[in-house]
Amino acid sequence: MDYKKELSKYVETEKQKTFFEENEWDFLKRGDKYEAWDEIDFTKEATTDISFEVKLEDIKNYAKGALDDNPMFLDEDYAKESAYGEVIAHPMISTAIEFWCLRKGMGDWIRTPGSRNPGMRWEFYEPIKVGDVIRLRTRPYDRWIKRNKYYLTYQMDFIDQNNAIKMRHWVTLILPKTRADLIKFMKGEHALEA
Amino acid sequence: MLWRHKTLRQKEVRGTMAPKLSFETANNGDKLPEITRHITQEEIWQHAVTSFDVNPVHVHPEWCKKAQVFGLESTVMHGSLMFCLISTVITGWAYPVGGRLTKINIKLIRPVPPGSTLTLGGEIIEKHPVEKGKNFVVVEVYGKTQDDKQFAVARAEVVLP
Repeated sequence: MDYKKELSKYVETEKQKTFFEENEWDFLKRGDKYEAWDEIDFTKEATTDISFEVKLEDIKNYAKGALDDNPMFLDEDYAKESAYGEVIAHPMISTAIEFWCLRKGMGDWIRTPGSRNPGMRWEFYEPIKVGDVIRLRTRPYDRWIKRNKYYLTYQMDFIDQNNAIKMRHWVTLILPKTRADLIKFMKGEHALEA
Repeated sequence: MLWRHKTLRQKEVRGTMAPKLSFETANNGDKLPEITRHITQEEIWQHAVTSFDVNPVHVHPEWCKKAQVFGLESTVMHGSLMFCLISTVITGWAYPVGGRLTKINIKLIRPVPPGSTLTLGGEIIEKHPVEKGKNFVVVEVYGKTQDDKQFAVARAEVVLP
């Protein structure tokens, strides 16, 4: 099965077309370069060069992928009459913004093949709306070992065009410990034990 | 795919559009309407594209047969799609009346392979009268599989008008 061909059937937005054209769909492509658990520098923070300019198609498409047809995310007329006064983004659009902005550099470990998601935490300050231009400020937050698994948490601040923080997301994954383990993961070799 | 849920969703919306929902009328023990979703590989691919999370553990069935990341030979649903469904329990209930999700802490318990049917719901467990515009309730949200096994739990704070 050609999974990339399957994925291409769902490409709709301008951002998705760009992602596809640049072959960013392949997380294995430069997987050996992602940050590894034991190499994280807790003294650093970074703000992404790539920003996410929120368009109506992004909000509508995210609701579709979230399997949520709440008219607040989809119907401009409905939203106009609501307490919000306009269409807002599904709160979990945070994921799309992160994977769009964090392709290389600090935080690119979120793309690690075979990583596991134990759950995460968010604070939402303002809804994300059409016209917002979001950048991410990323900083290592915590790293720990539990039952022989290696957990990493980064704090991601979603900063808009007015330098306001729209939301904060503590992203946690269980990762391979070392770069050698990461490469093992990429190859799909006994990733469970790595 | 999305629209397959429309009839169900409309029922949910009708159930959640109750004009009386407010901080005053909300009480500890109140149940949030349940939602149900059937997850297929097509929906996982859709979510992968929409979230830009194309990790092979979700999208690449052949890679998964070899890697068996969760001890499974199949792909698994994105954690982020579980987050979406958990959030939908709250947004479908509170957003139509101007409520707002302000904090959420989600724990994922077990992986979900395609072919699963998931049911999610919630209950108000705390009520915080702080000040007008900031009054909030704490909601516990659960997600369970067709085998009645929990795959996720969450604790959320929701400001209600």
